[in-house]
This record gives sequence, structure tokens and C-alpha cells, in this order.
Amino acid sequence: MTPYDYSEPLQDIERTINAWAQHKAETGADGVTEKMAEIKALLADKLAELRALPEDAALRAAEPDDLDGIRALRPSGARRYWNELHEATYRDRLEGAWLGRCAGNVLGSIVELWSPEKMEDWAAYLGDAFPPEDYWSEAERPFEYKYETSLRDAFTPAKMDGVPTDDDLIYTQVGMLILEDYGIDFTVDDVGAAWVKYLPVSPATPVLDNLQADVPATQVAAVDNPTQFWIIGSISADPWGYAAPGYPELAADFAWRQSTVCNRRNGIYGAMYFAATIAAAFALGDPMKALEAGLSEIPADCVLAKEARWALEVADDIKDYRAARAAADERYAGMHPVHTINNAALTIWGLNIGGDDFTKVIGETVAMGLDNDCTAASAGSIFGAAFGKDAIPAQWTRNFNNKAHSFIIGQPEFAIDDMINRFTALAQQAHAGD
Amino acid sequence: MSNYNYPDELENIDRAINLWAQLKTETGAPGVADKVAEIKAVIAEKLAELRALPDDPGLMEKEPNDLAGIRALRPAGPRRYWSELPAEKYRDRIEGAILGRFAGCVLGSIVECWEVDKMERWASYNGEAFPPVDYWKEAERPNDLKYRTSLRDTFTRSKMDGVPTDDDIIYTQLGLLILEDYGPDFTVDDVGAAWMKYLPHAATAEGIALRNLHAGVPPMQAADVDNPFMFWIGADIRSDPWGYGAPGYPEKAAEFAWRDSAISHRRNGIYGAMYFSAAIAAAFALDDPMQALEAGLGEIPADCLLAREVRWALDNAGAVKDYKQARAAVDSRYAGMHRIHTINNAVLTIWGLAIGGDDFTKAIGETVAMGLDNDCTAATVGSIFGAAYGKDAIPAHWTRNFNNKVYSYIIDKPEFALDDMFDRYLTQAAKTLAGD
Repeated sequence: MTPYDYSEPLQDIERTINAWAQHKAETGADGVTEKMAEIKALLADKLAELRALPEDAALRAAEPDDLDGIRALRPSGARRYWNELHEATYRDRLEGAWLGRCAGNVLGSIVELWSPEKMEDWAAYLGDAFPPEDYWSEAERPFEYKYETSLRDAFTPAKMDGVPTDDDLIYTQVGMLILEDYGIDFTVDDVGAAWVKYLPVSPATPVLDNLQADVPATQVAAVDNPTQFWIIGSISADPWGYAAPGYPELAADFAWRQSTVCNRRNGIYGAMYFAATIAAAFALGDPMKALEAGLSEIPADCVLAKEARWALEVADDIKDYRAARAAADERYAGMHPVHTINNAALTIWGLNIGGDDFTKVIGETVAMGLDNDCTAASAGSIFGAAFGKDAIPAQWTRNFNNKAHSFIIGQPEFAIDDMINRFTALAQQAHAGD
Repeated sequence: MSNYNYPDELENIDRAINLWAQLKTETGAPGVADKVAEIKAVIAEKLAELRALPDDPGLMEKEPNDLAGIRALRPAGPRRYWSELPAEKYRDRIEGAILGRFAGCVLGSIVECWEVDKMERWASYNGEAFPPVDYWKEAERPNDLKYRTSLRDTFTRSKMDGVPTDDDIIYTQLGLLILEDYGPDFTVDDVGAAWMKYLPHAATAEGIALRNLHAGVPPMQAADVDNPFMFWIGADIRSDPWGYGAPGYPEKAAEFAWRDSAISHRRNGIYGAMYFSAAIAAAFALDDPMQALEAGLGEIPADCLLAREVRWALDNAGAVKDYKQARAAVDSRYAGMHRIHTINNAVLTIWGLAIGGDDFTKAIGETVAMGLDNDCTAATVGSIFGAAYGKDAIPAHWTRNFNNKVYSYIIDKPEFALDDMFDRYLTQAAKTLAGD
């Protein structure tokens, strides 16, 4: 059953009111400006009343935001598989995880949030296979930039030279910089400082604006932020899994410190769940087992845990992207397309459908739509962490050329081999406890 | 300067309410659905109050909707240049007007309402001249359909085979059908019947009028019900058939346009249709686009806003040198006006013709480059240019892939032959000028 019973959204209200206000201004009607000011004030009042509705106390008790509270409600679990870094295994799998993450993201980025039907049409027009088996042969709107940095056509094989940039990838880079700059005992405040230092924008969240307005880092996520349960925590989960391989408890702890800056409740749990899952994948060598293991680091009765359990239980009945999307649309009707929970279910199903076939994993995941560059990036990351770099077919990395572009301030490019070395050093620190 | 005093718009308040309603639902807050229902109810109430604000009676007097009232307020004008149809000349000019109209529309259609800098970037990415001197080499979103009929990539020079469809194109076909089905004395009711028979769907004011017609609203009232778009460009883009059907006879062209536009528009929306119909009708006789644009003013109220803004545009036309200046001047004077309004787009149309002079490519290229509703403006520019200068003034590359075919989404009329359209308009024009 559906976890949330959403009300019918307002539709076209603003467009209708604005069109009538323009029209009445053009007929010279008296009082249009005053009436519009009255409408604005009234809607602001009503929005404030909506925001002031009290949260449900019982649900609140099952979904704490503080790390101690979260740990008190988590189920039993392995906490730590590796007592020290298994370096040879790790380097191979880390490379797989990062390349898999980049490939999934690059494939999804230029069809982000498209409906499956629109992707099917685009593939048919280009003569590409669908679900995709390689990068898109052409980008729609090829001349536009992603994040003012990478042209959209740089996401196609013909034009790709290095991994083009996207927010999903720069959060992995920022995570690495946070660990390097502040050490493994970095704090929530350090994350806030790093965001201000490194991020020119924070897409889909007011967090950066809040930080720049000097709201404390521990509070920014809760100020004027209706996106606090959205996917941003999940998409910034990877560096914590990469830096705490085989050590899901620590990965989730890192993820908590980071996601507290941008999320609350299920948004935080999304970050902790995927960080723990990735950390577990390095040790377990199996994506589906890792997805089970990740559950041990979040509250047992939070909505994300319930929905991830449901997604895992029904996973074998979900045979392809169409079935996956239909199931998500039904269960999560009214949920925002960049929410943590609906996208987590799709990520789980993408990994299950694809099995040990990387191309199928990211192809099916992208084909499901919703926030499909994020979901395919997470699926690719977990896949690579479990199976290593040789499980990633060469076509997906042929134009990476050891370069990942970035929109991080002052860091326009990262060398892939350098990132592998730097994460390895961080993982050693994490396991050594210093 | 004359300008409407637009209020500040609502910005993202509905999005904010929807997002907070989602979040509060996810926190289990009781009463979210009730609060959202309450918000919907107060919005409906306030919208009703906004809509009930009384129109300014002084302005209303200068902007009547009835034909007799409009005629009482129009300035002196020639009314009619041709007492009979010079068939050979007309046949050349109608071909120029229709080809020019379709070329302008097709060039603009796949960059409709784009920002100028987006068009510049797209041209630069494709290695093309800007303003364009030929059809776009590639379409953005090539696999999407325009009006559920023509793929966007069929608007490009390599994929075009026949004139792809667009609303600017089908209304030129629909007007011909109305003249043929009902004769030159067609009524507003006939237009209503024709819309229900021929139009599968329509946008903005036309969409609302069509919905109202299907709901049984009489054609004379269809424009008045739930229609905040009644001053927009929709009627203006339906002008051409009336100029083509009454060449050299602007008074009659404007009358035809009044009967057609009254179904969906009011005031400046109607005048846009009458003005451009009269201008096109005059262009056939005057052989000069700018003189035709002056002449068109003879058929609309002298002090309506459109007339004043057209006069301003004509007065300043010599000072506006290119698309950048044109757009900047319009953005400054019409801040807050909707981008598919009659008035701002009429000004760009005038300036496109002034800048282009007797160079067709420059006329439609600069007009498209100005943006706003640029497939409509470039179509009108091409139509007036062709009516004034004839088909030989249109460089061959603009029509090389027309292949005597025009696609359509008119019900049961998927394709028209261009030469057939020319012949049929000739028949209608002869009938109109003969007065039967």
C-alpha cells in the first residue's frame, strides 16, 4: 500500500491568475494591482498555515534526525565486514564503482526525468536500442550546457572526451575533498564550510543560500526547505561508501554528517542507506545482499526502510523498466519525481533486473525514468563496488580518457586514476581509525 | 509613451504550496488535504473577484467590438483600391504571399518563442548564419510532433518534403474553406460551424472558443466565456485568408476578419486581425509593404491601443536597425506583456518588414531572430512581402522543398496542393471583387 496519501496538487493556478491579471490590466480595470497584492498576501498566509500544521508525533518518533536516535532504532547488523583495508580487492572494486557511477550518470543525464515513452521515441528516432546498450548517439538540445560546464552533446560517444560533469558526480568529488580537508572526523560544520567553498550552486535545494546567509550548518536543511526528503542525500552517498569500504556503520556515520546539511528524516536515511550499501558491496561482492545489508544502518520503521524492504521483496516480480515504473507510479502516486523513496525503489529494481550484466543494470534503470541519472549512477556504483572494474564493458569507459570534468569551484578537472589513489588513501585512514 | 500598467505576477506560489503539501503529508501532519482544499477555494474566490473588476469605460469606448462601432471610429482611408480583379497580377502576388507566409512560418516554427540568445547559440552550434539565411539545418527535439502532425525535423532543409503543418498555416487553409463553403457573405455563425467541422484542436483563445462552441455557446459569445487570451495574437494569425480573399479591397478584408475574429477575440485582438487583413489586401494594390502597413490603419479605431502602437512602430521604424534593437525596444516598451500578445508582435512584424526592405531573406530572417511569437510574425511578414512584390521576389531556396504540398491537421484534409490553393483563392478573390 501507498506510504503517503497526497492531496490533489494545485494545477495552473498561477498561470490562470497571471493571465487574468494581465487581461484586466489591459482593459484598464481599476484595482488590479491591489487585487494581485491581496491574492499574494492571502496565499502567503495560507502557505504559512499549511507549513504550521503539526507533524504526526508517532511517525516522528520512528524517524529521528540525530545519529544517536537513528542508531537506537536501527536493526541488528554486521556494522563492519573488513577490519582492515583489502587493498587489491578494494582498488579493483573502487575503480569499478567510480566508473560504473560515471557511466550510469552520463547515460541518464541527458534524459533526466524523461518519461519512458519519450525515451522510447527518442531511441526509435535515432535508431538506438532501448533500453540503451550504449550512450545515446545524439543529445536532444546538444548545444545547451549542463551546470554551465559540459555541453549536452559531450554526453554522446562521438563528442565525449572525459566524463562530462553533473551534480551526481561532483558530490562524489566534494566528499573526497571534505575527507582530505578535514579528516575522517569531519563535522557537519565542516561540510557546510566545504559547500560554501566548493559549490557554485546547489541544485533543487535552498541549502547553499541558507549557508551563505550564515544559518548554522546543522540548521540549514530545515530552513525554508520543502525538499528535505528529496534525493540529494542519496546522490551524495557514494564517497562515504568509497572511504569506508567493508565498514557500513562508518559509511553511514559519514553520510549522516554530510546529509544533515541538506536533508532530514528519509532524506538523511537515503544517504545513510546507500552509503552503507556501497560499503557493504565492497565486502559482499553481491549488489542484492548489499542492498539488504544497507538496511541495518537506518531506523527499522522509517518509511524508507519499509519501502526498501517492500522493493526487495517484490523485486523478482519486476521484470523490466515498464513493470518497475508502473509499480512505482502506482505505489507512489503524487510523490515528487526527485524524492528519495520512489527513486530508491527503482534503483533496487534496476540492480535486480540487471544482475551481473552492467549494461542491463544501467540501461533498464535509465529506461525507468524519474530521477534516472541519479538512480543509474547509484546502480552503477553499487554494481562496480560488488563486481569490480572488469565487469564494466569497455564501451562505457572508452571516451573517459582518465578525465572527469567538474563544476566545483577551482577544480575544473579530476584525473580518474588520481581519484582512485586518493580514495584509497582515505579508506586506509578510515580503517586505521585516524 | 503608452503602456499597460501590469501588476507583479505570482511567482512559484503554486509550486511552493504543492511542495509543502507533499512534505507535510510525508510528516503525517493531519489536515493537509483540508488545508489544500481551503486554499483552492480561496483562490477560486479571489480569481472571481479579479475577473469581476470592471473594465475602464473610457478605454472601452475607444475600443468597441461591433463592426459598426469600429467603423465609426476608424480614420479616413481608401477602403478599396481595385474595383475589379487584375487576375494575372493577382495570381503572381497570391503565389508570393502564400509562399512567403509559409516560408516565414516554417523558418520560425521550430524556434517559436525562443530567447534571442538561444537562437544565436543554436545557429552557432550548427555552424549557421544568424539571422538565418536559409531554413535551420537541424531541429532541436527533431522527433517531437508539431500539432500532432509534422515531425519537427521536417522543418529542416534536409528533411522537408512539402510544407510541414503549423497553426499559422492551417488557418490560411481554414479561411479558404470558409469562403468556399459559405461564400463572401459568411457570418460569425458560419465560422462557428466551420470550426466545429474542421478544427480538431486549438490553442489559447481559439482553444477556449472551440471548447465553448462544443459546449453550445453561441458563436458571438464564444470569445467572452472564460477567455483571458482575447487580446492575444490568435486572430491576427488568421488574417491572411481575408486579405487574399479581398485583394485591393481593405475594407472588405477587414470586415471578413471581423466576422472571423469575433468568434475568439475582442478589442485589440479583433483589431489585430482587421489591421493585418487590411494591410495584406492593400499590399496587393500598393506594391509596397510599408505603405500597406500605413493603409491597414484605415480600418481600425483611430485611438485603440493597437493603432497607437502601430503608429509608434511606423514612426520609429527607420531608427530600428536590426533584430537586437527591435527586441530591446519591444522589451522595454511592453514589459510584462505576454509574449504571444497582438501588440508587441505587431510591432516586431512592422520592424521586420522595414529592416528587410525588398530583401525577402532579410525580412523573415530578422523577424525570426527577434523572437517572441516569431513563427507568427515571420509568417505575416512573408505574406505581406509576397503580396506586395510577387513570387519572383522570393528566392528559390525558400521553396525548393515545398514540392507543391502543404500538410494540414484540418479534419479530413491532410494535404493541400499549393497550386490548387492559388487557383482557389483566385476564384474567391474574383467573387469578392465582383460583389456576388
